[in-house]
Amino acid sequence: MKEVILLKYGEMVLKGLNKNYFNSLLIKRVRNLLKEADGNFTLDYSQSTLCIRGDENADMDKAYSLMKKVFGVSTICRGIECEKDMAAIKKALIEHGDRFLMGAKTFKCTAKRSDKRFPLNSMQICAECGEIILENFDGVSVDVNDPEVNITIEIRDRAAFIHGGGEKGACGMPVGSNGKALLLLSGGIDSPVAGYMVAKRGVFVDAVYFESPPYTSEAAKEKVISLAKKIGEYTGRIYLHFVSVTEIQQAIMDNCEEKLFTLLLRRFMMRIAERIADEIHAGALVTGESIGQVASQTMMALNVTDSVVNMPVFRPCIGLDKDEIVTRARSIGTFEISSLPYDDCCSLFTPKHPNTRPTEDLLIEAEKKLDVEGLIERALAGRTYIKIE
Amino acid sequence: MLDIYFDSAATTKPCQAAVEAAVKAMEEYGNPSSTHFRGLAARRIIENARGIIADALGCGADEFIFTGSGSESNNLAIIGAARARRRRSNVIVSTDSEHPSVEKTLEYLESEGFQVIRLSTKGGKLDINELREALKQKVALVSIMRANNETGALYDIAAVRREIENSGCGALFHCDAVQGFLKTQNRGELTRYCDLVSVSAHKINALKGCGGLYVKKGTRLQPIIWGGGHERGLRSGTENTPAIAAFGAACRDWLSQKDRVQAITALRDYAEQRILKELGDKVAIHRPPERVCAILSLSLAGVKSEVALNYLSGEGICVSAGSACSSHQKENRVLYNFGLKKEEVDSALRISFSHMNTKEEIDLLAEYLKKAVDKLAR
Repeated sequence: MKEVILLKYGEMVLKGLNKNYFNSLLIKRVRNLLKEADGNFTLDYSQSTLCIRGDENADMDKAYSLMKKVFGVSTICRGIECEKDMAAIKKALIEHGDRFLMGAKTFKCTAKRSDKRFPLNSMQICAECGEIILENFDGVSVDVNDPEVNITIEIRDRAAFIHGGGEKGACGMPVGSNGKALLLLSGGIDSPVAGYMVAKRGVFVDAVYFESPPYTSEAAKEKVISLAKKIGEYTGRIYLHFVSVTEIQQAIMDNCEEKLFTLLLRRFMMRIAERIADEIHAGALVTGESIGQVASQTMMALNVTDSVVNMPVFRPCIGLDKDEIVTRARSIGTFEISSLPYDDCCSLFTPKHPNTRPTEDLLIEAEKKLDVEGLIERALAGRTYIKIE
Repeated sequence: MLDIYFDSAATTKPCQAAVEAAVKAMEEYGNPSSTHFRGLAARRIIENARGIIADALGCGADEFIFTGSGSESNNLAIIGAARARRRRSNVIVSTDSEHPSVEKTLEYLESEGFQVIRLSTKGGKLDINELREALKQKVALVSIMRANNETGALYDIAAVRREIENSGCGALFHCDAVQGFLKTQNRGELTRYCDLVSVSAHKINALKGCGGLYVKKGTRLQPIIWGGGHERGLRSGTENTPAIAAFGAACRDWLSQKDRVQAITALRDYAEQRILKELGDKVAIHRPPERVCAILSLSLAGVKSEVALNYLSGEGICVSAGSACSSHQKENRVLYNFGLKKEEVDSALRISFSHMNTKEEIDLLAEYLKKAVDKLAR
């Protein structure tokens, strides 16, 4: 009888011949995460489930909470492993039943018998186990329709597992299974959510933050580092690049029409991001834009910001309302950080009446007044980065 | 990079005496309420500090309690007095430029049915006629700060006391003296004119997490924290012995320098003169008729506060912004009510001093303010 954590795979189970590749990435991620918990752990994969066993010093509480950040896992369960025989299962229920019940007044038993050679069928397993619980724990009753706890007995190929139901995992695909992308990260609510959504699909996400000191503060920069850390918690590591656009902003302000300020700056950001992406072998850019949310996110505005780059630009928030984005930001823990009052862009550079129907020609004409290449090169020359693990 | 600190109104660097007292008090780990020798040793530290601070305020030791912060003192004084006197009157008189820990507390009491009258403080001066008008009814509490935390304006608490006495409105007088404590020439004024006085340790070179409240003998307050009945039942919670020890030590250290207020005033005046010389018409100094020694409020022409702050911080100089640059942040109530124009509010800076600053630091500050304007003015 041993305490275990079971990770049940999500979409990955649909994979065919390349399933082993995805599985190895997921196991690598789990192994890396488990280094943060005390004790030694062994991993055992079978039947689309990864079973984690710890030695006597293992901190299973910590291990369990770490597993909530593994992409590719649909359900996490914490339970007991025992021999595949009814006597052992009943003994485990008597000894550990209170751990699954946790003070609940109603329960039901569910049996999953993937090993059909087991002598009892699912109904019989449930009936016997339910009886044992009723006999051994006071004040509990069976409620098959709406139980507080669902005690699940899984008869698998190598052993039997008992647990009190699972918790939703991070889902998605194992990190690293879908290449790398570069996120344009600001201190706002949307871009961290966009980064998370892409990372969830198995993409390593690195990020670039455009600062403009002294118009933006050190505090704003710290805030972006905290946001990147949150995404890094899911992917294991994240490189965060810093590029100052102060000179670019000043050149735009001195030479161009006010209504184009934001769009011109966005075009510079996209160009700079593409060059960084090329250098770090990222296959796409990611932004947090959503159609029509602000003036620079109308369809036409998105079009003229896209047209300066030659790689795919992913915008996973494109069809989400602000409150939907906020809900996601809360669930991944970035909302509170994004809501800190440090702006990542000074209102000084925000046009009062921005152009919401820009044309490419208009912007190309405006850019003729700027030393585009020189500005980009100087901005990139001052680039710094940090690695967050 | 430089390392110059002109933000002493936000917090001050703990003085050596405070640090030593705190470290020593940490060894005295007993609970000050325990009756064994460990508890008694801790209690002695606290009562010693209480005695020093009460002396500085000119009150009895039994009229001063320790709290967790200046904000907590303000909350306790205002909510505690308002609730205790509700049956008498539900009117509270205050000003339009109080610290958030007073203003937000008043807003909370308004939601509970209290009526709050906010007196104008335009130009940094309390409108005595408005006050006289407001006191023509029964009033539960008057809460007016001694020194404004943004403009440095000193409000005339002697006049407030006079008006309360003449009106017969029966109000208690609370004063938020977090910025004013020890920083005016007349130390005894607070307890002479007021019934309740809030002070904070970390504004006088002690530690954060410790405040105090003077409660004049016979003043009834309802506690806002209940528990073991510490601090005469007004503030339950085991006392923070190290921070209280540091508060007492810093207070003693301050009083040992007889001319400290003059020295800080001289620094501020020198700064004003140097900055004016360097920047001329590119700077507007905001001068209330009476002001506290430690605060200088000014606006740079064409440079938003936040931008100037970021620039100075990048060079290693700490100051405070009068207002945020961002358009969607709440506008600065205090500076508007002082009478500044929008551009002045947007570009306001607060330079605040302690006795630890030097003239050389002020020369550098003036130089970098000039650079900020030359480089960043739009």
